[in-house]
Amino acid sequence: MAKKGLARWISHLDLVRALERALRRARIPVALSRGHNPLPRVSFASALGLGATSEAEYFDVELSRRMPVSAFTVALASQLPEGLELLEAREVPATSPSLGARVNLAAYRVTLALSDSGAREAFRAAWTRARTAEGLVIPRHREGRVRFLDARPLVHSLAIAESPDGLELRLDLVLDPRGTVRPEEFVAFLAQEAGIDLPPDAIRVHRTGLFRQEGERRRLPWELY
Amino acid sequence: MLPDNRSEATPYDDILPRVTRPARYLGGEWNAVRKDHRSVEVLFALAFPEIYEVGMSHLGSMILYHELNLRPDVACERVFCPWIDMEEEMRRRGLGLHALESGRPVAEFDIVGISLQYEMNYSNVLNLLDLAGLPLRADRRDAGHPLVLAGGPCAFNPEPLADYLDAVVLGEGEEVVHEVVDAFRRWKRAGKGRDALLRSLAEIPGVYVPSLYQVDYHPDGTVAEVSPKIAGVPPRVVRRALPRLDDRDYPTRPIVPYLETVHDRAMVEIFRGCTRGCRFCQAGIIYRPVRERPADRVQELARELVGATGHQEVSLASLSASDYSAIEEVARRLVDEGVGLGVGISLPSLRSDAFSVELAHQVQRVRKTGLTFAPEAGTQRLRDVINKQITSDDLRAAVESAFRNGWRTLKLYFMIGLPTEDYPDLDGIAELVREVEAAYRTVKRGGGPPLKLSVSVAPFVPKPHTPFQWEPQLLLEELRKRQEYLRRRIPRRVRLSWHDPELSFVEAVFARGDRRLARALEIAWEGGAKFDSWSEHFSYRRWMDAFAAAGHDPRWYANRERPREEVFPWDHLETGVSKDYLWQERRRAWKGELTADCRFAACPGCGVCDRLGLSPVTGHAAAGEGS
Repeated sequence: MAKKGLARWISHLDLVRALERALRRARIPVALSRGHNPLPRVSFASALGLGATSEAEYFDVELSRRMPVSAFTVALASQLPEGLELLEAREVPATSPSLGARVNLAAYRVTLALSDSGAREAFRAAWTRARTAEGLVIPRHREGRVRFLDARPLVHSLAIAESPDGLELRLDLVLDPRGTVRPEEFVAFLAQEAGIDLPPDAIRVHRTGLFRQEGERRRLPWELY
Repeated sequence: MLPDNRSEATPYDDILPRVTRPARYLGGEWNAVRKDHRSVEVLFALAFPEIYEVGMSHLGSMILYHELNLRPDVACERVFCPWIDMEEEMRRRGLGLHALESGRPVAEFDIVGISLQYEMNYSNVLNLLDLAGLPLRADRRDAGHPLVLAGGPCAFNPEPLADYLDAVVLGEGEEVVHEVVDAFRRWKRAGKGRDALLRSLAEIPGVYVPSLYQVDYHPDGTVAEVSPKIAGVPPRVVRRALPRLDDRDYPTRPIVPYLETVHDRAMVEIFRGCTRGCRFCQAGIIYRPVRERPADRVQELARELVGATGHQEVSLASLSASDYSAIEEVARRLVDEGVGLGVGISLPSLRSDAFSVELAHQVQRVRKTGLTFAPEAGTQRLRDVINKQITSDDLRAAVESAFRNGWRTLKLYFMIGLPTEDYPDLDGIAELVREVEAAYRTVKRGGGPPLKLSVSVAPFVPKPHTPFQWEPQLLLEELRKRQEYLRRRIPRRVRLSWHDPELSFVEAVFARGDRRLARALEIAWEGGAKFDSWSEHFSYRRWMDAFAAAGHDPRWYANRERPREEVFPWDHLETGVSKDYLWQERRRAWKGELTADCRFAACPGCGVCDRLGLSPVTGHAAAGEGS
C-alpha cells in the first residue's frame, strides 16, 4: 500500500483503524481474534513515522474464508480513503510467521531543503565524521531523562546526493525488535552535529521499500514465503 | 475556487510537522463531501466551537452537514477550533481559519453556522470568529462578511452572545436550515444590504435575530421587557421541531474520522425527546415530545451505517435508550446481526434499573465495558424533588444484576447543590456508595477481583426553560464546603472525580445571563480565555477579573433566587413548554411530588404538543393522548 499526500499525517494507529474500517466496508471476510474483545487479524510489517509518505506499506490480513486475490484487491482498493492506495496483494499461507518478525530493513528517501551549499557540505561532513568516529550516539529525551542510543549498528547505509533545492538521502535503516532509529531522528541528529538549523518542515521522509536482508541478499516481504 | 491539488496540500503545510495530532486539520476523510465551489450558490461553514475530536462526535452537526450537502446549490464544509499549539502557529504566521473540505478561508463563506452545545464554549465562539478574521460584533459586519448563525441547546438563551450573532435558530434544524439558505439566496440575488437579510430571516418561524429586539431593564437590573424594534418581527420566537423523525433523510454516510473521536462509532438516533421530567434537565424540555423512529427503520439504518462507514460499533442514540418502546427487540436483532461481523452495539444513557442492566448484558455479550448509573441524588427525598423516578430498590436491583452479570466497573453520577439539598442528602450519597460496595461483596461472596467503583460529582447548574430556572445556585463557598464534606465520607478506594465548582459557577452565570454579559465575555476572551470546558485551560481568576472589569456581579446571575413574576432574558424564546407549567413543576418539586411521564400516564399539560402542533410518536400503549 502507498501512503501519499495528506495521508502522511495519519498516525500508525489511525492508519490501522482506517484499514480495518475499509476492510469492513469492502465486506472482506477478515478473521477475528479470539477472546473478550475480538479484533480483526490485520498486522503491519513496520509502523511508519508521522509525516512520512511511503510506497511500501506491507500488511497481513488473515481471512476467515478464501477469496481470489483479484477480488480482494478490487474490493479493498475502492474503499480506501484518499491518499491510501493499494498497490498489490498476494496470497500467502495463513501459517506464515508475521511480517513484522521477518522484515529487518527499511529503505527511505529523505529530502532536505538546504539552499545553502555550505550547509550541504557541513551535513556531508557530519556524516563522514559520524560513520568513522566512535560516536553515532543519539540522545533521547523522555520524561525528563536522557538515554543514549548507539545508532551505528542501526544505520545500514546512507548515500547522499545533491538535489535542486538541497540534499537527497538514500537511507537504509535496520529494523531490530530491540530498537530502531527513526529516519527523521537520525537526520536531525546529523544536522545538529553539522550545526545546521533544519526546521521540521525542511525534512521530507519517503519509505521506498521494506526488505529482509541476509548478507548481500535482499528480498521483498512476499518473497519470504 | 477549489484547489486542484487539495489532496497534496493544506493551507497549513508548514505548520503540520510542528503540532500535535495534525490529522485534525486535514479533511479528506472517508465520506467527506467536497464540491466544486463554482457549481454552488451558497457556501455554508458548519462551525463547532471545540476541537475536531469533540465536534466530530456530534450527531446534530452530521445531520445538518448531510441536509445541506444534499442540495446541489450548497457546499457545506466543516470548521473546528484549532488546538492551542495550532492556534499559536497560525497566529504567528498570520494564517486564518480555513474550512476542512476545500481549505478555503472561513471569511469567504456565505454563512457560518455555529453549534452552541455548552456555555463554556462561548469563549471559543469568539475565538473562532476572530481566527476566521471576522469582526466579533454583529453590528460591525456588513454584506461582505458571512452571516453568522447559531443553533443548539444554548440557542434557547443566546443572550450573552446576542451582540456577536446575526441570527439564532431555535430547535431542530433539519427543515429551518433550508428556509434560511433559501432566504439567503433570494437576498444575495436581490443584492440588498445586510438589514434586508436580517429582516427576511426574522420572518422565518424559529429564527431569532437578536439585533431586532430591544431589551429594557428595571432599575434593579432585571429585565422589564424584550420587544421587537420594528414591525413585522414576531414578539416571541417559537422553537421548530419535526413531527416525525423519518420525515427527513438520515445521514447514513457520515464522515469517518481518522482520529479517535469522543464517540467513535456509528450512531442511529432511535428517538428524540424525553418526557421523564427530571426537573433540572434542560434537554428534557427543549426536545419534547418524544418521537421514536420505527424499529424496522432503526435496523435498516444500522445496517446501512456499518456498510458505509466500516465502524465496528453502532450506538443507539437518545436521551434514555431504555425508554425506547421496542428496545429489547431492536437490540437483540442488531446484536444477532453483528456477531459474525465483529460489530457491537452500544446503548448510552441507560436508566438505573434492572431492566436496563439486563439490556446492557444482552448487547455486551462480546465486549464488557463499564456501566454507568446516574442516581443524581443520594436520598429518595431529594430524588423525588428532582423527579428522578428511580427508587432505592431500583438502584439496588440494578447494581446486583450488574454484579451478577459479571460487571465490576461501575460509575455513579451525582449532583450536589440541588434545590432543598442538605447535609443528610450528602450522607445519602456516601451511604449509597457503601451499599453498592456491600452488594458487590454479597454477590461475589467476598471473593472475586476488586470492584472498580468511580463516583462523579458535579455541582447543580440551574438552566433556563427548566422548572429550576428560578432557583439560585449554591454559593461557591458552600459548594466547596459540601464537596469537602462529601469527600471525607467517600472511602479512598472509590475513585472520586469532581466537576470544578468554579467552572460550574461561571457556567451558571452564562446559562441564565443576559446581553450585558457580552462585555465580560469579550474581556475574558481578550485575556486569553478559550477551551474553558477543559478544566486545565479554565481560569477562575480570569473570569472574575473580567466580570469585575465589565462591572458585573456574577453572583447576581448565578446565586440569586428569582421571584415568580420576573421576566427572564429568554422569555421571548419559546420551547413550547409553558412557563406556568415550569412554575407548577417547581412547586411540586418543593413538595416532593412526582410528575409522571406522559408516555405511561395521563398528560400533565406541559403544553408542548398544542403549542407546536405535535404529538408523541411512540410504540408505548399510553402514548398519543396528547397534552
